[in-house]
Amino acid sequence: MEFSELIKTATVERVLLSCAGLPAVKGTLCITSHHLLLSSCPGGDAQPGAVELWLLIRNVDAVEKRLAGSSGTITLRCKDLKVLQLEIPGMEECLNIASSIEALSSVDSVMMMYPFFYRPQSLKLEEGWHLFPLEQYFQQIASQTSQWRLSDVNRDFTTCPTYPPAVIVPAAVDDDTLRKAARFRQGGRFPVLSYYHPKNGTVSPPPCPAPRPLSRHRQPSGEGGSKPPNLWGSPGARRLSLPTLHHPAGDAPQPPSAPPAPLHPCYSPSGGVPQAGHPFHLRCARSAYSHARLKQEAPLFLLFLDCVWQLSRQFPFSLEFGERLLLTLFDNAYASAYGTFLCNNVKERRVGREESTHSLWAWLNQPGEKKKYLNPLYSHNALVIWPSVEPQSIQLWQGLFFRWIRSSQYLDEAWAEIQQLVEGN
Amino acid sequence: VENVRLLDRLSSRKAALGTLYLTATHVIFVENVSETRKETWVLHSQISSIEKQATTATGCPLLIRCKNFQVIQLVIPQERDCHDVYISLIRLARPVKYEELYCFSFNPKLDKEEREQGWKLVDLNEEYNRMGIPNNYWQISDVNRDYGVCDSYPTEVYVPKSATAHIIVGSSKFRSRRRFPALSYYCKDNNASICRSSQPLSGFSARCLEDEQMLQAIRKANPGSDFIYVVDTRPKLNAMANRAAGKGYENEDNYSNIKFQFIGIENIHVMRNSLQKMLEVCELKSPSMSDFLWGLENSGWLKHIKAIMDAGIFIAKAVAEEGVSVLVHCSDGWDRTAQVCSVASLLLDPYYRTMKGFMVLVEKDWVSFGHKFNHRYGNLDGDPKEISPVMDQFIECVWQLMEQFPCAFEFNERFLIHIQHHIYSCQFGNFLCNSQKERRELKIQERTYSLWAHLWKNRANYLNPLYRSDHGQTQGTLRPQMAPCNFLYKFWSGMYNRFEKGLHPRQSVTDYLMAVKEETQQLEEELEVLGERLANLQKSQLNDDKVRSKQQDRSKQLGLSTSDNSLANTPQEYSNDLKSFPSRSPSQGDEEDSALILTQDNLKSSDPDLSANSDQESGVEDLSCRSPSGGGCLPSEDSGKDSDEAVFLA
Repeated sequence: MEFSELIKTATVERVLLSCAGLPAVKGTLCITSHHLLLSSCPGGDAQPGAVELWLLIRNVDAVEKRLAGSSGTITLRCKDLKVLQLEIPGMEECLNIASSIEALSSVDSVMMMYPFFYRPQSLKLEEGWHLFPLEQYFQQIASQTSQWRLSDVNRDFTTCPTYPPAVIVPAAVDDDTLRKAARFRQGGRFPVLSYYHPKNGTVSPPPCPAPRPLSRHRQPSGEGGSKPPNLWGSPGARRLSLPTLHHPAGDAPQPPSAPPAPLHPCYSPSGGVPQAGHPFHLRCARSAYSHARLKQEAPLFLLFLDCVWQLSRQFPFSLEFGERLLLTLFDNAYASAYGTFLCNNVKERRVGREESTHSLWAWLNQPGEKKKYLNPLYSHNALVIWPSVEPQSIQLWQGLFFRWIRSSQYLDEAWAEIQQLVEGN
Repeated sequence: VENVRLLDRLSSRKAALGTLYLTATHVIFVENVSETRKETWVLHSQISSIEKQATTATGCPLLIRCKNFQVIQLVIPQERDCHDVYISLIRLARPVKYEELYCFSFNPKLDKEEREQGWKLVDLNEEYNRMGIPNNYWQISDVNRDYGVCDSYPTEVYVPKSATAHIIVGSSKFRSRRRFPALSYYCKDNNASICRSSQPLSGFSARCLEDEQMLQAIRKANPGSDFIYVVDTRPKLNAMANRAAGKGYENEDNYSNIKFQFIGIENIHVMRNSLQKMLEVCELKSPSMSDFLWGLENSGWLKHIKAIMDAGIFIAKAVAEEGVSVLVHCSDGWDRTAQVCSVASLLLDPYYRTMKGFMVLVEKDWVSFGHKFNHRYGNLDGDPKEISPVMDQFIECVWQLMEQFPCAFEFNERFLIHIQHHIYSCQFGNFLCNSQKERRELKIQERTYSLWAHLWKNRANYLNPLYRSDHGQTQGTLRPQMAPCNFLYKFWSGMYNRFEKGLHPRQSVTDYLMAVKEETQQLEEELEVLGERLANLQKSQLNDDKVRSKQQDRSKQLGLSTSDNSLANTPQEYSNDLKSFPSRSPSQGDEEDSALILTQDNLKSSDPDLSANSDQESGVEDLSCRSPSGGGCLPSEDSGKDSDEAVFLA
């Protein structure tokens, strides 16, 4: 298939773009293989156009068209919850544009997706894919306990097609037992280690049994109080911890991952959720606006991000990152220039993701970029955090759900003010 | 009464055993645990209801609901004791004479001069001067000097220059309770003003020439505009019903150049029921998410908050954007009118968003114009149908604005919460009685203290660290967003569940940033001083031994200040940490420390948090502050009580 077959009309002049909260602009609409562009010419036709819209077509969740006389209006409802309107002169153009967007946004072949075409100059292709291999995490656990071992029982994906090739399992269980256990579990998803909580004297036991507490793991720390010995071995590994995770039930209600300490893959879905085989492709193919109502579509990753946001509100000093990172992860899980969230599991990703796409983590880890996502109030917190789950404590995540309908100017200003105060200190 | 148990609403496991004391002014519960002896103090004036429940095997439960939204559940072993406590509290919580109120016995150990100075902190004449009045269009009128025209108005009233005494008196006769149109706010940039009054006695067809002239005079005082808005803040149906009783609203045909507008805010009875319903939701034991959300929606509370905000926004827009003057009224013009005028003023003028300005605003639109504090907040035993959370709603509107504009207000949430507390506490004289006239007759200023002076003295606790007078949000009119309205206004758990510390964020950004700001300032000052000294020393080439030792001291202090930044995450951990928090910030000199301790002493008897439940958890909110130097520089809740209060022990 060629993209050109899907693009019925490539450019239309005098299209009016409107979007809640912004003044409408008129310009030339252009469809490329992966993007929808609108450039205006504020200084007349002779002036170079200003790009008013640069939308990844994969982001489009639903296309609605309304014809009136000789022109038509297309409403684009995006997966990031943005809603755009295009007023297009010419009925045929309108229909063509609508069907082109529909076709391009529904392309299902992984290799056709934008990450395989995106080549930013500041990044190298191989960067960011192996920031934190499971083997390294296992070494850390092994330095504290001999109760766990690294198994390659799944090296050829035969034991469990949706698991990664290497997994951490109890040392007492041999590979043969794992294979048998896998046959007794849906999808072959046998129990494996998700998170190892290091022993120490200061973390209180949870007030209620929590099989997989949302916990900020203890970090090695030399200063203050009664801290445990440096359990992680290397002093450089301050933010390490979360191993890949696995849920025994085939279709976990939510990716069981600890709150990510961002910009580090082991706290982030790159090392966590995607490796563990959360089926991103199935869950995030469409979103809330889609009429398709795909059976496998569900906002599980968003629910997880929302939980993290609730934590960040209740513990404003304990997460290293701010809301912006959560928004970026949300956006990228649904439509991305990076290969990080492509496909459903490690096996599927062997289509050449690491060779032919860029990693989102590599992008986020660039010093200039990283700074934007940090929480200025962050302070290392060695303790497990226990949030309140009373209804009064749970709030609507306005930063996400109102992002496109309400200006966040005053809240952004407050954030900048906080940053300034803390940096001034 | 001994062996009383104080229950924790969220977890029945955490009941505390202790002794209950009734004094002339407070209910006090002292825990038995010997090293902490935690105390819970409740002012009688805060008690809104007392409920004796069926006796169980463990004793007789007594439920005390407070006007500051604290709910205290006690279990008293003997039924007879419980009955005695119940009977005593019923009487103590419903004083019949003003003299019984706490402010007449409260003694903050200030001398006469300090007391007088305190009352002078807020001066309304000064405030009208600040607005630019008197001027060519507005003047002060003494028509009400001995409350002869309107007994619920202040003696000094600002009116249009062209409104003669004859017009004022004539207009007052055509208005409910003779509350004639008077100036609330004047915008000197464009001459637009906000005036307030009660409803006209228009019935179906009555007219009054002087009243028509009065509105004309208001219009003329704004030469830039050829009409004024008349905003009736009642629902249209209510206003129409009033016509049958000979009251009602202005007929546009009778008044030249007015535009009449209804902006429906429900009456005090609807508001009282709404709050009641919302508090029932807050009291639910482990409600589900939908119990809570449905309950909140059904209470209608946020819908009412929105109605008040909408009316305020309409008026602010008329003044700021259209340059048109507005006359606001409801029925009597002392509840909804006060809410709406003060919200509009707050949006229009950045001064009212400062601490001092806010005090002035409350004094202007609420206290001086005869908001019936005594009736609305049930300070003295009276008609329960008169009680309504009118001021609470205004305070919440301010909080909702603070959430939308985090840098716009000089004060923080605690400031609002403490003002709400003192509307009911009767510890200060400001909010006593129903009018200025009554307060003067009682000689309030000679016999009680002013809340404003108390808050001002402790203003460091009430500052918003994000406020800068040169910030964009502190300039000009605030323009709150209108849509999507239903999500814009949030449930204020910091107020309505304020004693349920477990529900709130475990770490306070405000307190932390205040500490950061303070430390930065100290370091900068020190740097400056050291820089000067260094320059002097270099000049005079003195022996530099002294300097070296100073600098060593300084670096030691700095070392200390970064050593303990441990954070607590759960109530248990917080209370453990509580002990290890240094009580003073190492970077503060001894002098500052003693000043701080003094402040805390003064706070003891008057800080609402101190009369609050101070169980293990209640330390969380204030102490969770991650001070860069180890925390502990804020007033703590578990400091003891003034010894002089023990005198009241019965």
